[in-house]
Amino acid sequence: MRKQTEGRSVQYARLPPGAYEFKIFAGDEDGRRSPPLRSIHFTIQKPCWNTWWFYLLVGFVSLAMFYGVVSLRVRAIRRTAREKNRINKKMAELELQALQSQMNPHFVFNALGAIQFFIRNTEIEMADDYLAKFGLLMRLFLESSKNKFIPLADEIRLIQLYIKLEKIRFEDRFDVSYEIDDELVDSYTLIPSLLFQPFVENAINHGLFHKKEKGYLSFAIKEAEEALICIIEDNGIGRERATELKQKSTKNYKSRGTQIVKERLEVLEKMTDLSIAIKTEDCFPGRDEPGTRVIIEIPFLE
Amino acid sequence: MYKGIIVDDEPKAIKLLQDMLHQYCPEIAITGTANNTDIAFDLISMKNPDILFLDIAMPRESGFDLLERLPKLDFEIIFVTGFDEYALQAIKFCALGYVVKPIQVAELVKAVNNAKRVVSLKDSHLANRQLLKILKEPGNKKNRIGIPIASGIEFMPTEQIVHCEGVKGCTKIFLQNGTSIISSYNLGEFIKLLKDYDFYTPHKSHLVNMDHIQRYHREGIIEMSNNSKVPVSRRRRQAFLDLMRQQELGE
Repeated sequence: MRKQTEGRSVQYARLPPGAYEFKIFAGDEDGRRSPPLRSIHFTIQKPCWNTWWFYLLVGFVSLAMFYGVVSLRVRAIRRTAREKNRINKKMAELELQALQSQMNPHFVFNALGAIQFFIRNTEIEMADDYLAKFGLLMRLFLESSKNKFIPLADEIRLIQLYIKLEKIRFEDRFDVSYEIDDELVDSYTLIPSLLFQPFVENAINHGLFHKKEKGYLSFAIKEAEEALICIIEDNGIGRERATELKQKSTKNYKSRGTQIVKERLEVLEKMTDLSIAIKTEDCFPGRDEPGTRVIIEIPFLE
Repeated sequence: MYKGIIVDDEPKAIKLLQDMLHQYCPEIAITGTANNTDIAFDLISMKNPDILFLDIAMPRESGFDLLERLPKLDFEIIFVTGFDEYALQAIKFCALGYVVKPIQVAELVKAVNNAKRVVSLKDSHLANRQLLKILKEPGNKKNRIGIPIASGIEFMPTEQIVHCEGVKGCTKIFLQNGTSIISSYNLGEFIKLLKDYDFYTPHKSHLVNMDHIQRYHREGIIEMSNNSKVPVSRRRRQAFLDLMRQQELGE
């Protein structure tokens, strides 16, 4: 590459990498040239991004990053799977507990005791009727425990049957009234299974059981904005006294029915984003026997 | 004839029991029935029954609350209950009588015969008081467990039992004072009854009081405070050592 200049400097832009020899000649206007006055050897290095080790480094780093991303992702997937697994396991456990609390041994054996009475008393029809109802109720309990959600109509059938059996056993010591929105029942609305019965059981066995006079139980299903409302009311002795009595009679007594419901709903919320609100209050605050009102609000399922 | 009283909140249950007693235990004359504890209190005070058939879960006041209120408990009790694991445990601990609903005829007859036998001994008061104490303080090592033996029921504070050995369906109980008694209960019964009292099963036919363990020999032998030696089965050695270590840390 030859360049002529009259000045004292010369510039070569963008010399590709390689080994060079820089020679200086002097020349005159006629084109004659002196022998080289001076010769300088120099090398232009390849730029660092053009070297083999750089390629290797880039290759290695990108491989490492790829590996990192993949393993992070795998770990995240594993973690969600584990979490899901844990929730499912917890749910299964709670479902079992819910079933166990529904098939409350006290209820079961007392029911069988009542059947024994009808048999010995030769009330064949009563015995038959009670036994058939009891069998059906057990079947409904088992069936509903298999599914996380059941049609509202099925749950109501279960509740009515349960109350009927308890009424026979308690010899009509309480009256019951239903207020049920038929349209809602007909519309195949799904609700979480095993939800209402523990609260009804509490109303009867803890609220009304200890009441001296005839008690009263009300069960209502209504539609509110975007939600189904279930209200269970009793004019029993109230939560405070019921707890007192329980603790007095047997120290280690635990009624976990409603506690299990609450835990199940929490897990259900994690699984399905369905948030169910349960509110408990006195029906007649300040009275000697304030009763209990439970309000359960279930947003409609898609 | 023995005088009996039935207390149950369900009239149906009273009638059922009355019927069954009439048919299968005609030597029991039911002199009164009560469907709440207030009536029961007066009835028992007036009639001085030999045997009381008592439901546990009743409105407002349980059967146990009723017993607590009564000044005299000099009658045999046969508890009649639907299901009450906790109460049954205490009742069995005191070797008292009970039947569960639905009532089995054989169980009822057995409980009644037992009660009849004990009525003549005139010491029901002790066992009944004992039950109330146990319900109040479960797990207290001074609680006396009722051990059925040939001549009746022996009441023994659990802390005085050193260890038990199952022998042909019966149980030999070694006591602190060096003597031993034989009970017709099998070892499994004692394992269940003593589970709240720091007892451990190191071997399928041995039950030891943890408080009476003197030392443990490496070859799997426990030496008790009365110098008798109890084997630890191979499979339970690790669990046993862990338990001992835990206890030491706890104390």
